[in-house]
Amino acid sequence: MNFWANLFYKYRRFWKAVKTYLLLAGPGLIVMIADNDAGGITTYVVTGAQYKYHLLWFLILLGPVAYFVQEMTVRLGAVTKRGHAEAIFHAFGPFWGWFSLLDLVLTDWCTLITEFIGMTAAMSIFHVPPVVTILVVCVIMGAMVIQGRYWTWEKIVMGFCALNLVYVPAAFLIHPSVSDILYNSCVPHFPPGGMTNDLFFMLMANIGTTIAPWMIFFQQSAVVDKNMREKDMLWGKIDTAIGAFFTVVIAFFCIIVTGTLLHGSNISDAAQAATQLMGINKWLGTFLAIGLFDAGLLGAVCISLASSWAFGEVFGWAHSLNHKVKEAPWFYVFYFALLISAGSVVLIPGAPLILITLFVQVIAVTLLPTALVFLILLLNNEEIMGQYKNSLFENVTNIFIVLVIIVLSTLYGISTLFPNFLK
Amino acid sequence: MANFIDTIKEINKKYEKPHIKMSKPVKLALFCLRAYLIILVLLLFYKFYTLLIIHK
Repeated sequence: MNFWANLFYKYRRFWKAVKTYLLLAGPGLIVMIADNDAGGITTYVVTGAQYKYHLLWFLILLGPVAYFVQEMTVRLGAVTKRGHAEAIFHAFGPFWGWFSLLDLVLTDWCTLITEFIGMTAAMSIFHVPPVVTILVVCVIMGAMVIQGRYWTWEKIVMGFCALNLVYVPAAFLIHPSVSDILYNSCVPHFPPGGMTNDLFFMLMANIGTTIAPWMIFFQQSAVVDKNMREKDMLWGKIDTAIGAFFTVVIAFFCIIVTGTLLHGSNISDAAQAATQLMGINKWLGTFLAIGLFDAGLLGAVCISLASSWAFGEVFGWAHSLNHKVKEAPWFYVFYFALLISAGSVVLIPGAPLILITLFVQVIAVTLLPTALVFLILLLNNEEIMGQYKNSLFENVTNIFIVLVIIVLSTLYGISTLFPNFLK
Repeated sequence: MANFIDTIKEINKKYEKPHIKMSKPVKLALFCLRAYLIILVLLLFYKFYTLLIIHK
């Protein structure tokens, strides 16, 4: 009787924990899966096409890297009740505050354009005109935010996150070699040809797509808008860890698909890969196109909110998704202005879209190091963080990760500006 | 426009005093950041200059 009573008690506790997690899940899961945006999917597609499964082990390592960085935003948001932009203003003064805010908006606007490029390219495979794609996306994104409840918005976005798992069935359809995949996932090694400039560039591209500056601002603001407290931090960390797991899973299966079928092909973007896969298997091409569209949509949703939240925090506007349009007019005006202007650029004939895509990689290099350094400095301040400041282990791990990210993303940005730099 | 400028001035006044303790590691980190950004901006200007020369 005692055994059964204990079992039942543990079962009740387990389900209570699951329900608590489901209530608090969101910011970590969403930011991590949205991290696999249109640019990210393109990077993974090209990685698979160029290096087959040889970089799967490297991808798995990036999961914990993303977790350690994003976990800091959970703590900072829950303790300070401020978004990252406001936290920078408050701690470091107006110079760094304005630099971070304006750089964020510029980077986010350009990144938003690349998301629209990805979405229009994905839908053009189904012969949907770009103007229709952009209009539909703007309507969807508008409808998601104006209903006036953060909780509803969050659950809709988590539905889109689930759609991002479309690469998993795609990979099972093609029956790849499991032994090859396991070997390449577990044994760190260089692809045939060893370390080359192209490989180094690809490794940096993968790192650059794993940690994007908007992620730091987004998750911290989402934690604040969700009203998470110190007592919820453990669940926030679990949410972030699960998100990091899924971000690796999606990237992993995306590489398996293109690595199996398109290895050796000269692929430069995900839409091109989807078109080629359509010729091999209609379902595969469809899955990749849907995945690309979904990735772009998730990226667009998070990026536009990251900027709107940041501006609202600093300018003192009402800036919560729990506010309706009448209650937070400037927040929504800014959100829609960003969205519509970025979408319109894609429709301009002869717009320098490739240049914008390259520019994003460069401009992100100015914002990412500052956001990461401020994150570390804030998390080490006892006055701000109290008992939740970084421990020694967290400092050693996070500072190491931040330094590596700064060095590699800087090299990536410089090699984008000066292509012969690494040669 | 005048309202907007006033808002900016209010924000600057509100956050005028940094609240973080400017210890030596913080000052060093901020100095390194400034140097890093200056170098990056110079590289950007140099790239822009070379593009202009090539275009001509």
